[in-house]
Amino acid sequence: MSIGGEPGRLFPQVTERSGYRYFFYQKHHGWGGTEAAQWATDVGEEEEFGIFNQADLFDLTDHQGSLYGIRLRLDPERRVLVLGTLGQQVAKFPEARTAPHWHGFPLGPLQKNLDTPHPPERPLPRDALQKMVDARLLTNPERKRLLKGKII
Amino acid sequence: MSLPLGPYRSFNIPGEEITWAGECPWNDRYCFGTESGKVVFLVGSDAGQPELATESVSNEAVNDVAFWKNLVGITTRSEVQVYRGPLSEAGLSLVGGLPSGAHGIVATPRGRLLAPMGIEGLFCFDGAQASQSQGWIDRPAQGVRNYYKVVYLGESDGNEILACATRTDGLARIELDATNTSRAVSLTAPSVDLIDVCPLRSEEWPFAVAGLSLDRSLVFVRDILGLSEENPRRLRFDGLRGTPYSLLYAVGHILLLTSAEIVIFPDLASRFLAGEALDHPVDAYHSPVQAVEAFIASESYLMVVTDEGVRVSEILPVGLTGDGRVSTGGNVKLPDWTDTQEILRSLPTEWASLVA
Repeated sequence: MSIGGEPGRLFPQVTERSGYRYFFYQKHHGWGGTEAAQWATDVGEEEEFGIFNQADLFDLTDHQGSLYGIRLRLDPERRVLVLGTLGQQVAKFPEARTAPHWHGFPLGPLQKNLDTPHPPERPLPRDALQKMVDARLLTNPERKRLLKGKII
Repeated sequence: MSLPLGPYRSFNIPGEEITWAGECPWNDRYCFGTESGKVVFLVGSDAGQPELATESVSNEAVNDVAFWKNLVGITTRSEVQVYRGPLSEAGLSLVGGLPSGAHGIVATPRGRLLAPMGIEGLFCFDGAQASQSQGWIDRPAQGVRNYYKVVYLGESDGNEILACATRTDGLARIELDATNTSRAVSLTAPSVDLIDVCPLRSEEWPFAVAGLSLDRSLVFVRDILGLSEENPRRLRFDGLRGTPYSLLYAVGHILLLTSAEIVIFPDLASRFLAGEALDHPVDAYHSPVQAVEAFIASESYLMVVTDEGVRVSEILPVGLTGDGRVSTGGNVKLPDWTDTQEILRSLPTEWASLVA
């Protein structure tokens, strides 16, 4: 299947809260160039959709409506796992409320300035991060570490 | 063996959340970075409330500060900035930097300010030529290297030698010559995701380092100049809890901060450097804490940044114990520690060398 000329796969379920559909672009799953962030190979489709579903469930949005998620493991001990091939621990799902589906990719911890005409790539915004703390997905020290661009 | 740490003294800044703590060489007093993007200098504490000098440098949380002569490099997740000081009523003046983020910054004795920017590279600013240079980004000629933490080790054959934790790209040795040309050698291994590195500061082994991997293993190297000849030792302490955050060295000890606790391994670095076998139980002191980060100041003070402020404790060499050594009056508090014995497990590791 392809959407907009880009190959990928639509996940068969929709999110619990908003009924969003989710599309796995191949470019973020080992088939993209160096400019496309890649999901870690040990994140399966079920788990990737689960991260998106959790982001929607807790409404982890920034002021522009994009969603953000983390890969939280609770057993045998609580840890926030790496979800991208470059050690990223946050996923961004760009705002797509009026589009037929959403998609997501690992988001780096630092602001990157890209060549024009691209805008800078910004790390997890403060408003979405605070919602993760309010939802008790993250602790306050973890919030501060993400604000510092550090691993949690 | 007894706990090699004194009671702690707390610092906090009303109305601010501290995200970084260290020492300012301009006045030999503590200074702090804040979540709101300020650097706060302690300028007086002789009587009553300490006086503070505050510089607002960013809208983002300060993650590191490094000084060289009258320059100070400050990093956040969104920018690297170099200012000229010292402190005055006119404030600091910006002399260089770039609007991209870095994980931290270090200053070398020759005046290089180096900021690891992940896969974007290593930002370099030559402080000795601050008026002519805006800095540059050093990257490998081929491939990528994920620069996460850089420390200065010393000088060899006229080159400044640094060690760098480069995540799954392993442990890197970086050499900078007098013309600012760099050369790097890396050792990588499967399952190693190096997130911190610290110098072991030994007269006999000046280029010794230890590294911390996300899988809670520790990597020890006696001489990073021989990185491609002598494989690092990789050890695991099964008693550690939480996600690894910081690895520190002070007066022969190894200190480790995780998301759940801080652990002190008394004299472990000294024993490794002395060539002692490490395959028998070693002492470890655990103290539960949910901290943001930990730092060493003046080579013998532990600074732990928590939500309540910064705890500062003196780290003592083996033989000088912290128990009851310092008065607990004022805001000095005794920490809560558990004494255990840990078995070090050697992890067989296949290292691969890369030169770039």
